[in-house]
Amino acid sequence: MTMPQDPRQRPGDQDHRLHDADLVAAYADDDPEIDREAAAALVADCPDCRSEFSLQREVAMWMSGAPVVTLDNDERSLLHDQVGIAITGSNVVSITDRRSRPQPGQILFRIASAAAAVAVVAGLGGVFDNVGGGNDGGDSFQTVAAELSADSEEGATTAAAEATTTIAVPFGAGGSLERAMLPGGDAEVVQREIEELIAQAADANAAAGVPEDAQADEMTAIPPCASSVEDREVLLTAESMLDGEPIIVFVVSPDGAAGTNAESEAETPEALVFKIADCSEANLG
Amino acid sequence: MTTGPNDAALLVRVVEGDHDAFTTLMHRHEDRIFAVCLRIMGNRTSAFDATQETFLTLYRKANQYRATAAVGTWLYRIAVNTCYDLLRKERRRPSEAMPSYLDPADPHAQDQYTSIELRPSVEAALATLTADFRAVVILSDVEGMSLPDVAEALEVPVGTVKSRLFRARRQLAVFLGNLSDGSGHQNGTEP
Repeated sequence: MTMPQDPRQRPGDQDHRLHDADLVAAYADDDPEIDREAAAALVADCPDCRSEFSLQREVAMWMSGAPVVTLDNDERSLLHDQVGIAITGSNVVSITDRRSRPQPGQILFRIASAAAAVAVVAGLGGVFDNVGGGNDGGDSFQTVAAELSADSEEGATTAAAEATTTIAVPFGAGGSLERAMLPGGDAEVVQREIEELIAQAADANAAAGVPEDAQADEMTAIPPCASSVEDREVLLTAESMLDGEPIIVFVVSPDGAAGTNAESEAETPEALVFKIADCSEANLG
Repeated sequence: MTTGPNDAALLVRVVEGDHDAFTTLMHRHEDRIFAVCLRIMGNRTSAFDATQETFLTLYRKANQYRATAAVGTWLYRIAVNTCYDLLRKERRRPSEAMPSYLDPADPHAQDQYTSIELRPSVEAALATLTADFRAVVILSDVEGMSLPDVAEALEVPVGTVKSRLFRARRQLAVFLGNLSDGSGHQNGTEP
C-alpha cells in the first residue's frame, strides 16, 4: 500500500487522495476535529483510502479485543507486600524522602549515613535516551535515566556498606526538576567547582556495587542542551552561573558510552558545559 | 464502577501519609498498570517489576502531581517511562513468547481471527513493534485511551501519537497479513 503525502497536490488533482493519509487515519480514529463529511467522501471515492481506512480500523478493533490481563492472586499479594514494605521504609529507601532540600550554592551531592543496612545508590549508569523514540522525528523529549543499581550478584557483597551516596540524577517519570546547584562566578570559580563535582562523581562511581533489589533513583527532566551530549553516559548534571549567564554542566563518563558501569570506574569523568540560553558550549578558558 | 473518593482526593491523602489511601489507589489501578507493563515488557516478571516500581514512584512523587492530567493518565506515564527504563536496562526486545493462556481466543469474537488457530497472539504482534509504537498502540487501541490522553501519558504531541499509531497499525497489519488481500497492496511499505 502506498499513500505518499505530497503537499504539492491539491484536492481535485487526479491523485489528490494520495496526500490525505492523515485525514483517512483521523477518520478511522473518529477524530472530532476533522471534516468528517469530506473524509467520508474521500473514503467512498478513493479505493486506496478505503483500504487504508479499513486497515486502520481493523487493526484497532483487533487490538481492542485483546484479552484482559490481570495480576494473579499470588502476584497481587506479593505486589502489595513488597510495595508496602518499601513505603514503610524498611526496604527501598527513597532519595527524595531522605535528602534535605539543597540550599542555593550547595552541591546536591552528599554522603549520607544509612539508617538501615541497605546500600542504595551505586553504579551511576545514567543513559541518555530519546524516550520518545524519534522514529518519526517528532519528539524532543529527552531524559536522563538513572540506573542506580549494580546488575550483578557480586554487588550484594557491598550491600551492607555503611555509607549511602545520595546524588541528584535526572528522572523523567515524575517531571521533577532537581539537579545540583553550583556556586557561580567567573570562569576560574566555575572551573574549580566543576572539578570538585567531577571528583565527587568519580568517588561515587568507585563506590558502585549494590544488589538489584536495593535501588533507588532520582531523575529529572533536563533542558534541550541534553541533546548535545546524546549517547554520553551522564553521571551528574549541575547548574551554575558563568559571568552572570546560566549554564548547565553534564558530568559524563570518560569513555562516552552509554550503559557503562564498574568497568569505567577507575577513569575520571569529564564535564561538558553549555549555556542554557542557546545550548552553545560555554568557554571556561 | 469506582466508588469512594476520586483518585485526586486519594492522592492528597497519600501525600498526607495515609497508607490506606495509597492501597486503595493501588487496588484501583494495579491490573491496568500491570497489563500495560506486561504488553510493553513482554514477560510477567519484568512487568511485575515495572508495576512495583511504578507504584513506588507514584508514592514518592505523589506530592508532585498536578491536576493537569487525570491521576490515571499520570500513572500510565510513570508506568510507560518505567518500562522504557527497564527495557533500556535489558537492552533487548522481548524474546520470550507470552504464555498461551495470556491470549486465549475470545469465543465471542466476531472478527476473522475467531478461531484459536487463526488468531495470532496480540503479544506476538506487539513484539514486532518498537517500544514507542507499542506504547501508543497499547494505550490507544488496547486500553482505549483518547489520543489527547495518550499524548499526555507519553508526553508527546497529539500529532506524534497519530503518526505513530498510523504507522504502528500498518506494521501490525503486515504482521497479521492484512495487506495481502489481493487489492494490490504491498507488505511492509512505509507511508
